[in-house]
Amino acid sequence: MWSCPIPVGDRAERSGCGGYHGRYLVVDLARAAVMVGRFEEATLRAVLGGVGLGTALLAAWSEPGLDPLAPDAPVVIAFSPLVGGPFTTSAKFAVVAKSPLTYRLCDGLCSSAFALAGKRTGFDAIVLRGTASEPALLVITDTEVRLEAAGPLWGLTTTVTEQAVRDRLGPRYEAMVIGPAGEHLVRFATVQHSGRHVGRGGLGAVLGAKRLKAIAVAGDARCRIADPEAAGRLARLLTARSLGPATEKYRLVGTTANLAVLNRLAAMPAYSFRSSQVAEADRLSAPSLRAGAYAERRSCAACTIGCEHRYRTPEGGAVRVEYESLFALGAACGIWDNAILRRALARCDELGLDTISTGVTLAFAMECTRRGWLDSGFRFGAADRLVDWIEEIAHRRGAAGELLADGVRQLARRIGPEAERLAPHVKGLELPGYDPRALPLMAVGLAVTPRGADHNRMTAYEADLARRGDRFLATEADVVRLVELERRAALLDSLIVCKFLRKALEPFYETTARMLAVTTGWPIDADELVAAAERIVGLRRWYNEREGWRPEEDDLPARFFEEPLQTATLGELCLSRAQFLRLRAAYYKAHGWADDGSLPPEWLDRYRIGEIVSRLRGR
Amino acid sequence: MRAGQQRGPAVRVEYYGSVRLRAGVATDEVRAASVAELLRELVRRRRGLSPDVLAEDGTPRAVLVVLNERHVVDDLSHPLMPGDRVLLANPDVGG
Repeated sequence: MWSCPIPVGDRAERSGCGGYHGRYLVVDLARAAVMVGRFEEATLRAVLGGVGLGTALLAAWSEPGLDPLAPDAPVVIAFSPLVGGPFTTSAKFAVVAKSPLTYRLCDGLCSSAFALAGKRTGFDAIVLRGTASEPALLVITDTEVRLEAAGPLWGLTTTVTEQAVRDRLGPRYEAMVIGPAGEHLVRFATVQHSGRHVGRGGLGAVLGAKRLKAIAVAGDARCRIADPEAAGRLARLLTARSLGPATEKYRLVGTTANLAVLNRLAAMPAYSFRSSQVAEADRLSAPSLRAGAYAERRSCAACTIGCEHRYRTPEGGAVRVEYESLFALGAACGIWDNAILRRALARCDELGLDTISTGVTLAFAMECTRRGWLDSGFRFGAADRLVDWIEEIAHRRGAAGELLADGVRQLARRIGPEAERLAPHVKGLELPGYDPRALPLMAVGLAVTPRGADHNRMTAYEADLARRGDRFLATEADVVRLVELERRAALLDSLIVCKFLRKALEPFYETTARMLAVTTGWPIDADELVAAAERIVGLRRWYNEREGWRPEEDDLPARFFEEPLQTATLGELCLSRAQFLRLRAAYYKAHGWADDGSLPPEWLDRYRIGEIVSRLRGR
Repeated sequence: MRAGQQRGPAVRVEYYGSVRLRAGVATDEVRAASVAELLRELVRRRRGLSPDVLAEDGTPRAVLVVLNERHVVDDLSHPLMPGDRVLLANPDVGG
C-alpha cells in the first residue's frame, strides 16, 4: 500500500544514556507519513518507559475528548529501558490508548519477543495515528515503515494470523495481532502476541478501528548498557532469586492456585457476585485441573520464572489457564466443567477476547435473566452454550453478540436503573475475581484506579492480606499500603518488570534503582524512583481528568453496599459505605490530592506533569 | 513438651497452592495450644515445609497464615481454640 524510509539522519544512533534510543516514531496510517521525535533525557527520567512513557505520549499526541475509535485517536506502543538487557522478565511492552470500553486510560502490558524485536527498530516508542484504507499489516524496521494490504488475513484467528505474518515476512519478524473480536470492534477485544494478550480495556478494538490486523517489527538497532559488568552481576542475583521461594507459587502451580484459597477466604465471586464461597469451586481448583489434563509449563522470552501452565483442550491442543479466566468464565457463570472451560478459554484466545470481561458480561446477562429483566437464554451453568456465546460475541452476531459485545455497562444501560445498580464494573471495566465485600482495601483499589475495576495496577488485595489481625477492620492507617502497592506497580509497569518477580526485588526501590542505574548510567537513587512512581500514578489520573473524569467515577456499584453476601464460614458480609468513604478519603489524602480525588495545581507543578506532556507535544 | 507429643485443642490445618505441594497433603489435624506450637508441629510432621515455608523453629517465612478465614496471624503466641481452622497459603495470593 505504501512505504516510507526512515530518514538516514533519524536512524538509530547512540543516545546519551544507556537503555534508550532516545527517539520515538510517529506513523500516520492515513497520510502515509512518518516522523521521528526525540526524547529529552529529563523526560525519560521522569516517566521511565512502559505505561509511564506511553501515557505521556498518548496525552501529548491526542486532542482531549477524542472518541477512542476515531481515526485520529492514537495508540502508543512503549518499550522500556530494561528491554533487551540481562534482567529476567524484562521482555515486555506496553500498549496505551483511550479505552473504547471505559473512555478512560487503558494501559495494557504484554510479554515476549515482540518487545525485543520492537526495541531493535531503534525506537523507544511508536505512536500510531489515522486509519488504513483497507485491512492492513504495518511493518516497522530500523530503516523503513511499510503498510501492506492484509485482506486475506482479515477474519483469521490470532495464532493463525501471527503465523501467517511470520510466513509472509520471515522468522526475524515478531507480530502483535488482533482476532475477529478486534475486527468487529468488540469493546473488550485483546491484542495478542505469542499467546499472551494485552487483555483489558478493548485495545484490540482500537487497532480494529484502524483496520490494523497486525503490526510486525524487526531491526538491528541495539542500546548499550552503561555498566554491563554490574548489570550482569545484578541480573545473576535476580535470576537466582527468581528460582527461589519468592516466585514458587507461579512456578509450581500458577495463578490457578488463587481459586481455592480465595474461595476459602470468601473472596472469590461466583454466580455474578451473588456468592463468594461455593462448594463447587473445588472442581476448578489447581489439583482438579491438573488431574489428567496438565500439558506443560512455558516461559515468556527472557523469563526464568515460567508461570505459564498449559492444560490440554478437548480438541487436542493446549491452553494457558489463569485464575482470572477460571473465575470469569467458570465461577461467575456457574460453570464448573473444566474441560468446557479449557475449550472456552482457547476460543477467547483465538478470537481475541478478554476472558474477564467476556465471562463477567455473560454472567451479568445470566443474573439479569434470572431476575426477569432480560428475556434471553442466558442461564447460569449453561456449559453447553458457553463456546457458542463466545463466538457470537466475537463476531457481533446472535443474541450474545447484539447484547454483550459492548460490555456490562452498556448492557445495564439498555435494561435500566435496576440493572445499573447491580452491574459489576467501575468506569465501564468489568470487575476481576475479588469480591469487594470480602476485601475492604481491594474495594478502594478497584474504585480509584484510572483503568477502571482493575486488579493489576495496584494489586490492592495484597494490602488486605498483609493486614495483621481482622482483615475486615481496615482503617485509614492501612491505606498507606495501598499507596505503596500502587507506586510499586507503576514502577514495575514502567521499567517494565513482571509483577511476579516483585517479591524477589527487596529492598524494592534500592534494587530497581540499581537496575536502572547500571543500565542507563544515571546516578538514580531510591528517592528519585519513588518520586517517578508517584508521578506516573498521578499522570494516569491526570489523563483521565483531561478526558472528563468526575469524582463519582471512583466508586463501586451500589449492590456491594446494599446486598450482603451469605457465607458458610464468615456469615454475612457487606461492604460498609462509611468505611469505604473513609478509606477512599485517606487514599486521596495520602497522595496529596484534593478531597474529591482531583489533582491540585501544586501537586501537578511539583511533579511537572504539564511540562512533561507539553515538551512531548512540542516535539 | 517433647517433639511430637501434642497437647492443646484440636485444630484443622488447610494447605493451599505450592504450600500444599510441599506439605504433600491437603489438610492436617493437629493439637496445639498456640499458633507457634502448631507451626513447630507442622515442621516436624511435614518435612517439605522447612526451611523455605517455615523455619526449623516454625517461624513463618514465605507463607500466609490465616486463622478462621478472617485473621491474618503475626502474633505467634495467639492461643488456639477447639475447632479453629488455620490456613497456610502462598503470601502472594492474587496476581
